Amino acid sequence: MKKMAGKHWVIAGAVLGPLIVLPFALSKAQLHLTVIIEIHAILAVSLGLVVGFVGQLSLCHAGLYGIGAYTSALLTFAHWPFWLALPTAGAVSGIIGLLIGLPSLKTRGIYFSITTLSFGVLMAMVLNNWISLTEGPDGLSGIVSPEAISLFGWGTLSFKNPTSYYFLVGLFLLFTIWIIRRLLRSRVGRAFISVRDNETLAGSLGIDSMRYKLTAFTVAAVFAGFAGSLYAHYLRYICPKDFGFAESFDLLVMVVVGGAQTILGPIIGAMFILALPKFFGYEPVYGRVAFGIILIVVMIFMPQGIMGKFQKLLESSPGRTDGHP
Amino acid sequence: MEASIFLQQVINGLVIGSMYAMVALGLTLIFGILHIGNFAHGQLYMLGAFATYWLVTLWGLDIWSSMLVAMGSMALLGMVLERIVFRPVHSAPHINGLIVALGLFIALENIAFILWGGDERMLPSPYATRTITLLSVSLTLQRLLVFFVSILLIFLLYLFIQRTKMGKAIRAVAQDPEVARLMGIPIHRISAAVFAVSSALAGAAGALVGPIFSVYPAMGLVPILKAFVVIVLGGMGSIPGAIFGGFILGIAESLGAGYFSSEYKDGFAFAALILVLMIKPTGLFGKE
Repeated sequence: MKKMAGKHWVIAGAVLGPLIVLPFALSKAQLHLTVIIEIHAILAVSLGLVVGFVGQLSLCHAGLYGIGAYTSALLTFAHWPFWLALPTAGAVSGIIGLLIGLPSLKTRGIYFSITTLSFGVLMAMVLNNWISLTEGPDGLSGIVSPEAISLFGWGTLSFKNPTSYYFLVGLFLLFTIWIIRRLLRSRVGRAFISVRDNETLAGSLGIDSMRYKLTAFTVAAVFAGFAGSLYAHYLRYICPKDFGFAESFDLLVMVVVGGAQTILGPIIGAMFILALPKFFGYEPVYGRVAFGIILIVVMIFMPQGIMGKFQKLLESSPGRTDGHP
Repeated sequence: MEASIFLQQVINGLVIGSMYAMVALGLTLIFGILHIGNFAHGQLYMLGAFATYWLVTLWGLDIWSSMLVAMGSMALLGMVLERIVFRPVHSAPHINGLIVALGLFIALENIAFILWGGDERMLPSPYATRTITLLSVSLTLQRLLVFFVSILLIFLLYLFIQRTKMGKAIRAVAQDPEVARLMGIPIHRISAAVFAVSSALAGAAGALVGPIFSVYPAMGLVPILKAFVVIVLGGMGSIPGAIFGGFILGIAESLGAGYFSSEYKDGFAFAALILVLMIKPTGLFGKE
């Protein structure tokens, strides 16, 4: 066991080393894109918990992300420090997620997808129309950057520049992966997979599927709230359009194209989906056409997603291989 | 509110509802056969409207022949899409079908944008300006036509499903694809046929409302979202569910907009859906 752990550290070093050097090698625009990818990686990994491991196609993740973003921005407008607003945003999104999950998870399959889609549309609509609170379609501007933290005699670390923000979000991403990995490796995680693979059978073994589905959905909502807060204080401007159902779809696409039944897959998906249009230069319309066609091609030729294909090649997939959710 | 305004809202609801019903009917048929939430169905509505628009404005065809040609070309396009896009993911998990449909939705909308630009165009119709008054409610002839033509098309489709051999085969496949295949029903031919009729119906819906709501590449989004709400409300795969669901949603929306708030008009559909599913998780007409 100890030896294995040692090996893991080597792998971790090999991956993290380049990631630490990365921001210093990128242009300003590339660094910005990287931070956006990191934030979406948090969203995609947490959505992946619901989609890939409990088998529920949720279409309201962007709404929960938006609630986190608005909560955090509005709290800092009320002079809360960012470092307090961030966990609160996670908690508020988590509570809303729980409240949405309770009725939605009673439905199954496509009914669940359309119910969550409805909640997603309603959340975006509230952000758009509750003008006294959210400024409506104009959005909130002038959101503060996170307060600098003191490094105990080594000066202070400001988060006004993208490089330090890259590390802040990166740490959060690692935290997300760590928590979700731990969850999946526990008894709870095994219960998740049993619910995904055969809900009736899991029920007959005494597994309360509703409780586990709700747990996964709520945990994912908390991370969506964190991601929202990180996004709001990075861009320092948010508007309802960023959190509509189109964003929910993009997130689902990241998860499935990357490989839903893995943790790394959604991260690969986020990189793939966000970086891809940049290769089409100034004509975003052509990029969207290519994007649509690539989605079709990937799904036809890699039904398990990019990471799923990769894992199959290595023949080390611990999950099911037939892939029917 | 006065009775005449109430009546006006109900009639508006019936007009919108007939469009929802036509789009939802195709969506529910496709779901019944392939179990795919076919998002791209909204783009056949958009392309049907564009095809009619170009036939009328460039070729000078009258609106009825244009609509028929548009329906035919959408049927053909639907069959092509079924063959090259949806058939390869037939045996994959349903989520893959959804993502493929979404990819197609995005690609088709942006291809339309590249070809024709984002401007909103009015489909010229001789009936759009003629107003008639019925029971103290005035409405354009076009709106009346939308309602009656869609009723006619829905009725024809119903006859096709209930009375023809092909329709019987479609119902058999929807009920149990494996047994249907054992009985010698060619599954692929059936799904091609379903895509053809569904796409033609969506194209007809686009052509009919083109003179009222205008034609542009992004016009397919709202109808397809609403159609999803309709078929979930009515119960996935249920044909009467899609028809009645469409009309109920149309009327509920226009009454809601008239009596409560028009800002949240599009929200009523989604709120109603959540309420219904909380009480009956398989939809109004769905099987347990």
